[in-house]
Amino acid sequence: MRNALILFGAMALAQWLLPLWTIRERESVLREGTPFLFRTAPVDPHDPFRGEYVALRFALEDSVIAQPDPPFAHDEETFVVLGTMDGAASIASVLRTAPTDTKNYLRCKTIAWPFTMDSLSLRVELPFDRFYLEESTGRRTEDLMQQRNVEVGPELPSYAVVRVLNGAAVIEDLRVGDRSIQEWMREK
Amino acid sequence: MMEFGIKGSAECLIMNVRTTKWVSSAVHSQALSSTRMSEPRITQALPELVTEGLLSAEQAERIRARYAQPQEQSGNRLLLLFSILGGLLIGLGIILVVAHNWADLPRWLRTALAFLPLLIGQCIVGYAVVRRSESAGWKEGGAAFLFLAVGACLALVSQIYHIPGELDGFLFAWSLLTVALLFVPGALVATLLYIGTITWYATATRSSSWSTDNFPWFYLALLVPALVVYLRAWRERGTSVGFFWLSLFISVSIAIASQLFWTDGRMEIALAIAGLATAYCAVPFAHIGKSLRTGTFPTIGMLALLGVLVFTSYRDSWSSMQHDRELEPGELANVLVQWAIGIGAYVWLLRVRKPFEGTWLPETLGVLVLAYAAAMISPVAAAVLVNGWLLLLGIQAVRSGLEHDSLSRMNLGLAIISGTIALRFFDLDINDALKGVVFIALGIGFLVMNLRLIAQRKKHGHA
Repeated sequence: MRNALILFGAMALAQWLLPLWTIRERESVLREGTPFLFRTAPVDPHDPFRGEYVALRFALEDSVIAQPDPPFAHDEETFVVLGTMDGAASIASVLRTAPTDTKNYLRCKTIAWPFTMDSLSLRVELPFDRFYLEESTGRRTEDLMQQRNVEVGPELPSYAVVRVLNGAAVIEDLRVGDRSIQEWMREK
Repeated sequence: MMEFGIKGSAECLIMNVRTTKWVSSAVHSQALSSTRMSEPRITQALPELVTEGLLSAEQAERIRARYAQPQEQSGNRLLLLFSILGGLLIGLGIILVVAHNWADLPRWLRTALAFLPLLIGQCIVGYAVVRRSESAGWKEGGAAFLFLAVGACLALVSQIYHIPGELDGFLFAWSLLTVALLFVPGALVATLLYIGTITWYATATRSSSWSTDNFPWFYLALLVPALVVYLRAWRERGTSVGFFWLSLFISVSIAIASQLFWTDGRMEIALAIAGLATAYCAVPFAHIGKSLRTGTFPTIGMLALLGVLVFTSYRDSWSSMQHDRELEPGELANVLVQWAIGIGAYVWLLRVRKPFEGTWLPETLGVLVLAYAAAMISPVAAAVLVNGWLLLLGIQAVRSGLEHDSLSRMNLGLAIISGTIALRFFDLDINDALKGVVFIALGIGFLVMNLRLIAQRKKHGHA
């Protein structure tokens, strides 16, 4: 009985600690992190447990970065310091160690592919890729963000508002033009 | 469904002479359990039998007493059933409600709601462990609910904070946080849910990138606790319906997961599948004298062996061997392990069964190894060997079916023979009329053999 209770207690504790640990980290990023706007394009898949979401592809992930010397290998951990350009997030520098002079950086993986015979092109994979939505709003969100089947006038840029703090990031909102996706959905 | 197991043709097929006693006792116990299931009809017929003078009143009363179930026991079973159904339905309902994603609610409220089912589930299981340790209803229902509540909590936290990561990572975390439920309170339904989840995890991991060697290695570690629970149940309650479900889930899970460690087709993989299938066929021999409900193992083993034999009966399967690529290290490890399991199982079988005694299915592994060696010299020779073996297997099953008065076994043998002939006829470029004649002959063969066995049964007073 004693062993059973110890095992049950450990399991119950772990069932609380893992989600609470995740929440604690994310909450501190949301509270203290700097917001950045990441230009994005969505697709609309579905997860059997977590429901509908838009999988986000970010323009920043397509930017080819100059390789430092020595160059980064594929799938190497890197620290990407963020800046802003025309209001959207941009890459200021890519480092091998965490910067000490700023908190506005992301911990990312590199994507390095052969560019020429003797060089690798470098891109980074951002540590966030999805935004969960209310049931049955995925298709409309995707349409809205890709300007299909909707009367929104001239093309509006879509952004993910992401809070960044010391390598971690949490998506706070999804915006089309200057309005939150929730506001667009309320209009239906 | 509940009677699945010993009576299936697969297990009958792998029965040998020494196990006849075991099988007959198993069939007897199955018959008893099926009689129990039809108990109301028996007791309802008693007054009529007494009126007709076939039974005395005293005999009728004794029969009634024999099949009477204690009221308390039947009440407990009902409570158990409703506890399990209640736990599962409420838990699944919560997951569906969570999947809706109530984005309009404030974050703190959604976070609190994520933990509420978890807290309730933990309280129920805690209460079941401390106060109601004898009540299967509390343990089963509570553990099933807690299992699903953990999934709902993880899903809601993922939603609220838009946590990245695919389904496999989610299922992995869920499995880790619920593995202890297999031991405390040790609930069957939670164990089945766990086995289902880790199998889904393995499949999701592999299907996320088929072309790479992203193998679900963690599945093997997650399987160990389930195997521990299975072996314990084997010793303590191997004749129960619950053990049948455990056997079904474990056998299907391992069969699926063992196929997730390849990147592409190779002949060695077919032989590895035959190795594991041989071990599956050997499972009933591990409990000779005890009628445990392990019937799903030999059924899956037989189907896998026949599948491999059909695949390797084509000459092209062997001739393409020379163009095969090198095995990846992970694939090689899987091939070697499954071969070792198959060879080990066959060597172990020699202690309880002589070669070619009863069924010939376990010998299939040796034939395939011979064919593999023969294919190095001539792919045609390998294909001929496999086709010949298929026909022998079929003939032996028909003979065994006739000897043991088993229609299912005889028809299985006939299906193997006619299937092999049909496949080869489709391969050959011969006259359609001749093909037709052969198929008619096969059909007549089926009819004649079945009529013969039925006549034999009538003669012996079985029908």
